[in-house]
Amino acid sequence: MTDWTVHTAGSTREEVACARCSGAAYLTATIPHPGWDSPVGRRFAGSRTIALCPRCDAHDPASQGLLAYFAIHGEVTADTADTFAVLVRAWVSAPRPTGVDPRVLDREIEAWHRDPNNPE
Amino acid sequence: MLDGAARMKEMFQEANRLGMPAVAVTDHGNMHGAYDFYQKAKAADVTPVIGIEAYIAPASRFDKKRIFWGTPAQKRDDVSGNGAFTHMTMWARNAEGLHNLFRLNSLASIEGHYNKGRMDAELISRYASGIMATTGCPSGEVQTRLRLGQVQEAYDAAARYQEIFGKENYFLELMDHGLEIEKRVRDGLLEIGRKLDLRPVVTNDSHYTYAGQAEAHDALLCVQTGSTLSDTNRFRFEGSGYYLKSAQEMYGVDGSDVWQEGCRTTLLIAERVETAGMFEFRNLMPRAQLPAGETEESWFRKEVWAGMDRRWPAGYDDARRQQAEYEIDVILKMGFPSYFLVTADLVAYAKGEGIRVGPGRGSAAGSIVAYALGITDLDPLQHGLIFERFLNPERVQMPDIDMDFDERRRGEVIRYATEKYGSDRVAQIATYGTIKAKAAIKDATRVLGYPFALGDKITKAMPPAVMGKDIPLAGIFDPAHPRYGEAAEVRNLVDNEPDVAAVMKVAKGLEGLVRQLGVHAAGVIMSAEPLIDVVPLLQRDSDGTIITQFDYPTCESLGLLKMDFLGLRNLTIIDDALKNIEVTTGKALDLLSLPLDNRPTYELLARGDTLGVFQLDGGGMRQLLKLMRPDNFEDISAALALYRPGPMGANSHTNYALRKNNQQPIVPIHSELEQPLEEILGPTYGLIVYQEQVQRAAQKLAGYSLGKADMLRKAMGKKKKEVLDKEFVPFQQGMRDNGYSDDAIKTLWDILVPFADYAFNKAHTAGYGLVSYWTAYLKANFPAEYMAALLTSVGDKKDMMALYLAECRAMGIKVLPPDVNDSLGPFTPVGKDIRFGLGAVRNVGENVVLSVVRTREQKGRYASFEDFLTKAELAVCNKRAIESLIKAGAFDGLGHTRRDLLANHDSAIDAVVGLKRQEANGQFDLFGELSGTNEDTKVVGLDLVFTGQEWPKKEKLAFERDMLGLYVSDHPLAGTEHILKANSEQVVSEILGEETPDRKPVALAGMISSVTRRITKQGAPWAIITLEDLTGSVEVLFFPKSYEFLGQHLIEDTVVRVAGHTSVRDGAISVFGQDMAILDVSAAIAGGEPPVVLNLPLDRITPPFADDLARVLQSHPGDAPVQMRVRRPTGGSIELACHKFRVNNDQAFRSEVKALLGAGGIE
Repeated sequence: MTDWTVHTAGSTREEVACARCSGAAYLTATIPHPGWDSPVGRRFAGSRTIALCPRCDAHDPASQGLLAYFAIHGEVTADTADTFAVLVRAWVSAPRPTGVDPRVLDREIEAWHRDPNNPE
Repeated sequence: MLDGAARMKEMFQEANRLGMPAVAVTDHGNMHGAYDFYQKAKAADVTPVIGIEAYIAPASRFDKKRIFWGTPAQKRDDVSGNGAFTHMTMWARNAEGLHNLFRLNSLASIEGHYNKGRMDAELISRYASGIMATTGCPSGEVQTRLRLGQVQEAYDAAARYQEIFGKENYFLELMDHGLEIEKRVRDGLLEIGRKLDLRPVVTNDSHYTYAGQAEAHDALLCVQTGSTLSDTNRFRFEGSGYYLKSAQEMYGVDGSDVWQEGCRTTLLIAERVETAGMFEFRNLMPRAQLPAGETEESWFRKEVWAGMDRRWPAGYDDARRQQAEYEIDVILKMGFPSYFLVTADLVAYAKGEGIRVGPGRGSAAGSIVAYALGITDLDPLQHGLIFERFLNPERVQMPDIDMDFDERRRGEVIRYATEKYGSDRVAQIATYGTIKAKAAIKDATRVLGYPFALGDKITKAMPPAVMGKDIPLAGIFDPAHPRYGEAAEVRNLVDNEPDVAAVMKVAKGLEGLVRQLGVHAAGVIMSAEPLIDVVPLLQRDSDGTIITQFDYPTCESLGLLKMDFLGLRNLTIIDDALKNIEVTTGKALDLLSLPLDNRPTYELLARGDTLGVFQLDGGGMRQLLKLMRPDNFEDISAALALYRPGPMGANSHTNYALRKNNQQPIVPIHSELEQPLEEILGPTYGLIVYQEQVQRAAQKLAGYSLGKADMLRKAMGKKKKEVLDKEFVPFQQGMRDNGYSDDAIKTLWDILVPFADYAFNKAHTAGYGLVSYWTAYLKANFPAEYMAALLTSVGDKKDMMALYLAECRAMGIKVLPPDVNDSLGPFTPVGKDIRFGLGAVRNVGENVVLSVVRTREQKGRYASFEDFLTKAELAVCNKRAIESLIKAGAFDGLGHTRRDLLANHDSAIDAVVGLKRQEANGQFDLFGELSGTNEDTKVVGLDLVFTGQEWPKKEKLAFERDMLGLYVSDHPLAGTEHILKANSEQVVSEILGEETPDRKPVALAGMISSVTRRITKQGAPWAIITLEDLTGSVEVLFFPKSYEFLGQHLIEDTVVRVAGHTSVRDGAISVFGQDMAILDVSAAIAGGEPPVVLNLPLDRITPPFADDLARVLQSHPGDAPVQMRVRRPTGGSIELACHKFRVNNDQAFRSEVKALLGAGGIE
């Protein structure tokens, strides 16, 4: 069994939502979180969920292969599953930050204090 | 309040500048400001003319209704306050007049309150002596009558009051602010004046000092009425001139003879005022009731020695005898025996009624007389306490003994005091809330119509509060202010943003003004004489409580004494715990005779397991205790004294802990002083912890008396260089006389000065330390009994309840759900476990709880739900209450699922209620007729259907949580404790503690119990989640940039680890999420279903196949998630999660899957 799990829309056309834009995503994947050290020195890991969204990831280099795949094929089929597997493996393995830059967060916090409805 | 904007010091300076020899004060219907006005006037050498603009009832003050004198068409001109009162101006001519004004104003509130406190002619005639009065403003009776065309009545009114006050004391009042109403009946008024030969007096309605303060005053009115300056319909002052005008300005208003004479009359009135005796100090301490033949002194002595015999029935040593003799002498010399006797009487009453009393707080525990009289419960000599810290014979001071009572019954003690010492001699005390700097900014922002965010921005730019005090607004712009340098940011805003400058201008006018009247939380004035003869009083509308109009410092200046009756929740907890112990063990524990060396107690303290222990349950304190490993009572006292900002800033707390455990050397202050200070500082490992140690050091080394040493200690605390320099001289000489070197003297002095400020009163820590010891003892030795009492004490505070429930779990105490057969109202110990109280179930009132328990006791345990309904009284058969009890699990023991009971309860209750109503009305005894016995039978008509099906765990727990405020029977995270602990650095309850600092990095693990998604104005999504662990819940905010990375995780019921940091602003704690990971707890969660994994060859996945598979999954609904492992022909596989279906992984399902996919198709 692999470390990661992909959730696609599937043949029942179930919607997979992108949390960034609330629109339909092609798929989401649960991938390992890089992990952290606990106070007693042990290393623990969890998982994270990422989404492939045609709008939000349009300019993400790591997503281009899969976006092209879905643009051409629309969905995962038996004929193209091999290609899909290679692309999705590359996509989930691409390096990506796990959290927000603290300075950026600080700016958002200040904005929130100025206007609790608008932390931006 | 929120009407007068004149600051007194400034006003009297202006009066001086204008050459005014006198100023009058006539606040509307109250005399709150009278004393302060008097003091400030005297300081400025201005004669204070103290008065009131009284409200006068249009008829009798007891007629609490609207009265109009004219026709409906004349309503606008009629009795003001919508028919409730007219006005009259009154001033005190002398001390008798002042006290008569107090009486009038007090009785107006107590007897005549209707909209406002009102007096009437009958009352005024009783207390008119020493008072000068006028016909009043346009709202006075005379002008009101004239406006209504009732000339004769106007004349009669004026004549009546002239008769009451005396011809020379009653004046015709004239005002001119340019208002039409002031002029409308001027002729008629003057005519009455001529007929009655009333001298005219001119008054000006000053609400502020300078003309330029009109805007600030206008803003104040907006604060009062909640309006903005731009609101055209708001309350405002029409006309002009509401400031302290000069004599020239006043004479210049009107050239008529009568006006000119009226101006001169003001001087005449001022000259008649004699201030001698006004506000003089008299000893008004409450007087003890004495047996026949006894004086205060004789009875006091008898009581003290009788008390000494009670405390030491086997006899006491010379040291104690001498101490008692000494204290008796001091107390008698200072004139306080009655105070001690009265306090002892109150405490004795409380103890006699079974009301738990604290062993002592504050410095009073340092008195052996207080101990003998039973006021305190600590032997001061045993604990090394000092009487002079409490009462210093070298200083004139009032004694101050605060008393702690079980907070539930504190009111009984106050009632006793009122009944025994006279309801006319006991009152609560006013406090004044003033507009602070930041509040002034926010008020100014609002009244100017700016958005809240502007005020928020300005206040956030201000320097933070120090010791709870903000920099004053004037200080921001005053280079001489010590905190001027910290305020650059706000000055910058003022300089660069006109809106901010506008706000600041208005805010300065508001800051410091009194906003509202409050009541001292614990203080009660007890007087030897009727209070109405000493201070003005008012009666609180809501509950009739009598309150002094002056605050405590003013009352003390007049010789009145405040007694503090404090309610302490922990005494309630102790009381309940002792009752629980008596029930479970049959033993009545006497805390006062407990030895202070109980090992399990100190073991608990050393482990830091002090959640719920009085004064020791904060996170930081627990860390200190773990470091300290207390093993005697002195350590508890020291922990209380050291865990405060001052000592902590000097690391004294950790130094004590380290030195105690030989992890830090004890370095003497000076080699010469090591041996002399050993007995004083040895018990605290060379550290100065207590104020008493400063006193003893000055006594031993410099030859001070303990009284003088206390004065030295206080002087050291003031930190004024000139004071310290002055105090050093005799200190140095004293030590030199005892042979110490200047080096040793200077070294000691340099240490004592800062530590005198940090050091704490040992008497207080000893008294409170005893309560800490008791609660720790109970928790350590009777954990179920104590935790049950603790849980009951938190009432509706679900956060606290969750915290203590988690503590119970950690202690191995099971908290059993509420049960109609086994629960009482409060939480109760059941062996080593605790039963949830029925009183804690939402929507279940006390009467229902009492009825359920009573019925059970009378008719036996409930055998079934039907039996319950059969036996229950009508009051209990309330659908909402029963539904809540069902959802809370209170009927679980009766053998039915909650789901079944909820489905049946509506019809079941309908069936029984009608019958019970008839039974209650005595129409028939259904059960007696049916059975012919006393046994209850099943109610006719109840047809309950039980399926045996229960709600899914998630739903069941959600209902339970709704009713109880938290999970009890189970927790969604049960079984995951080890995973949560391993993946977090704090628990939620720690984050929500009071000591949580700002920007503290946190890593929490728990379940997302709610997600609220939002969109910024720019269209970016962000979210607020509730993260819940086993100790509580906290909001975590994911702002747009964080949301980009983490938004996909934010799904309810997901167990996650969240990393971020705290933000603490204005006491509110938030967590900002920075990183998050999902934790795999599927195997750990009790009852959680592992996923079903289906193996699908890729080449078989066609649309018809997909439809067949979907059909199979749909036809076996359940709780197990589905995962598909798609295998490629060339090898390898992809795991796909299928969210749409959850299946029941039973044999039937597995057979169908295997039929479709083959034997290896399902794992």
